[in-house]
Amino acid sequence: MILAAAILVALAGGLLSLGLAARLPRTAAALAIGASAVVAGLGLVLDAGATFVVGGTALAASDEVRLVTIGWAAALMLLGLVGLAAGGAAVVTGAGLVALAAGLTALTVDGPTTAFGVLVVGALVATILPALGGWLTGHADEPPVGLATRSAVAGTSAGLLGLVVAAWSVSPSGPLGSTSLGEPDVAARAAAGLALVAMAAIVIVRGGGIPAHLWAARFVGGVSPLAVPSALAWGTAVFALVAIRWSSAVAGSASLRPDDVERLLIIGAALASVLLGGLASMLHDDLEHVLGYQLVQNVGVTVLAFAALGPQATSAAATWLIASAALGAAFAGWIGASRWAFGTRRLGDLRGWARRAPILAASGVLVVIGSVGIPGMALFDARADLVSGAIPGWLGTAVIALATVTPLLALGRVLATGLQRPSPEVAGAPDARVGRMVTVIGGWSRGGPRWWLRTAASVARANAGVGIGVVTVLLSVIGLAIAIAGVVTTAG
Amino acid sequence: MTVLLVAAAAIAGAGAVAALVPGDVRLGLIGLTASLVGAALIADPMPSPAVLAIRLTALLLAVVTLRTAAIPAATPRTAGERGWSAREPHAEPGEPRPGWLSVLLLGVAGAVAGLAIAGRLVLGTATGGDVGQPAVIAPTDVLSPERLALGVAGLMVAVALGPLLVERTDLRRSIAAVLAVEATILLRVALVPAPGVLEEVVLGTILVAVAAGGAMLTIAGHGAPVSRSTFEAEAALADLPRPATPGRHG
Repeated sequence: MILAAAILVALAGGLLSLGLAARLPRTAAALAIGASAVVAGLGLVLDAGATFVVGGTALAASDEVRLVTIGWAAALMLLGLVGLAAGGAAVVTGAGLVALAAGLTALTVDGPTTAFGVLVVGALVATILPALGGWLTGHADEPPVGLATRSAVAGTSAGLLGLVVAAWSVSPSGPLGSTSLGEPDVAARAAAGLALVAMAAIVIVRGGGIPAHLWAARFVGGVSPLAVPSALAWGTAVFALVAIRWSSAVAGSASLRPDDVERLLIIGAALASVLLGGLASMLHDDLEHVLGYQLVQNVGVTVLAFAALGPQATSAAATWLIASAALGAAFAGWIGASRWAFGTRRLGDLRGWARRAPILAASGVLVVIGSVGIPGMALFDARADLVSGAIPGWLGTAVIALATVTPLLALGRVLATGLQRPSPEVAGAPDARVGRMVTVIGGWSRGGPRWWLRTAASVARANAGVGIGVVTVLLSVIGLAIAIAGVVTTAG
Repeated sequence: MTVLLVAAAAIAGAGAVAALVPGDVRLGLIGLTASLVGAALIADPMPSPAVLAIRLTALLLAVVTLRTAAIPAATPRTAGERGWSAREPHAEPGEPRPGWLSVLLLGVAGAVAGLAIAGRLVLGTATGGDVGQPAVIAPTDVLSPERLALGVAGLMVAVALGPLLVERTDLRRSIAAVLAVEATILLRVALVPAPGVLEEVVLGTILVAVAAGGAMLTIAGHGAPVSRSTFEAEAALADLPRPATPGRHG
């Protein structure tokens, strides 16, 4: 019942806050943040073996579901708090909650077609509403219709294609419908290979991997960075998890051989995202695009799971996807906070940010450590397992090095910029926003409870920068913790 | 039963063509409704009342949602005519749009393609199949619901693809998006018949969500205030005096 409660609270909280966002934005934001906190709490007490049945279909929790519930809901709550200061909290958190409800349903439901169907709805809400959020709430005059349309088409079409491929696979025409679990014949192998290529391509479209990266690049550049995690990081993670699980079932009787053309196609597409995504994240001067291309590179590593399917690849992919989504959310939160503090998103204008905002600097360092990783960390090992499983030998080692070094260089460049002499934008940022104490706390014993509450509220408002900084640190700590521990097995 | 199935398929196909014939918003929505109702009934045996209710509720919600986008956008056909539905209001002068005959021919071609694909696919119910042995598949009839569904899906994809890919965001594109989703649903039901109740709910939700997204983008594309009520829009079209409500920015 806890699983059902988590899904229902996320759905109801999300829909309510979206409904109230235009007229009562603060109430809607508080509602969404509260619902996120409740869902995160429910995730903490969720039993990994819990199941319940709806309309004859079973929904079953697992350790991955538990971690996704905690990580995604906590990220929404903290991003919502950043959004209270930076703006757009109600729409971003509300849409994220609906996407979270869809994601949890998709991960737990018994049946890939239902799962992909639910993910279509989640992707639609997570892309259209944040893109049109400013216009819907009356803060922007020109709605970015093209951006919203492209993002919605990408998310929706990927889910619908996944639904069709999953239905075809279990139909009498598909690889699972015509052959039972024995030695597969040639036709079944060909069908399974085709299905795997199709599913890998669908994941690339959904996650914005190369060559389907344009919509993702424009999306991250055109919406609030706080909306990116639900649409691209967590949303893609859940989508890819469902796709990889399904692919493992299809390939159970017909996994790809090393020289199969389907396998080479998948590896080629994945390498394009790893290489070009990594390069683009190092070269872009715009923080949102650095984040976007990091996510593109993550998709590339994920797609490698389709080339070496099996229990080990599935487990590694789960760890990789959840950890990288949590770190993506932390980086997005950091970008939102730094934009709010310094009023710019260009790296060139952010010189000296770390010297001016030490709390944000701590958060940034944690994001870099988590994203790059060291051997022994779950994220690092999962990335190495995924790459070496698909590409053995020296080429695999080179790809692991590339996938490790490029985030280090891209994020390290951001950190290094922060240590330079402050730019006029950074130097001119108000103390209250960069995380320095403006109002001294003290002498509170003078008044009664009402005076105390009023004073606490005004002190919190005056020192909002400290609060936002602490929130970004919390986001980074969650991301780093998941990157270190990975998916911890608790079910007996 | 076969006659009813063919009739349902014909209604679904004709409705899809009518939905995307340019020129009249009202005809488009009526065609879409007919198409979605027909598509929901391509099943043998008929789905349970609960499933039928889910399908009909979803399609009606989808059409009503799209209608909310049509009302603020529509303009009267001629001065003095009343009613919200009229000629397609947002086609730019000189903007190329296929005529009804082109849409019809495209639809027929799509239907033929869908039926041809259905003829090559192994549709039916797989039973048996011990470990290492192929399953026994009972093939379906030529006019089975699965094959008809694939034919209608092919028609819908053929007529919807053009507006979806090349036209700008407006009501016609939103109707095309809903038709594309319906085609996907038909394809899914043809490949693996009888989805569960939860999946029916999910498929219906997709239809409504895509319609809502399309309606929102249509309104945004026209710059119409999203908070404008149906009453206000209808009053505007009928030249009735409106209460002086402030706009979104004033």
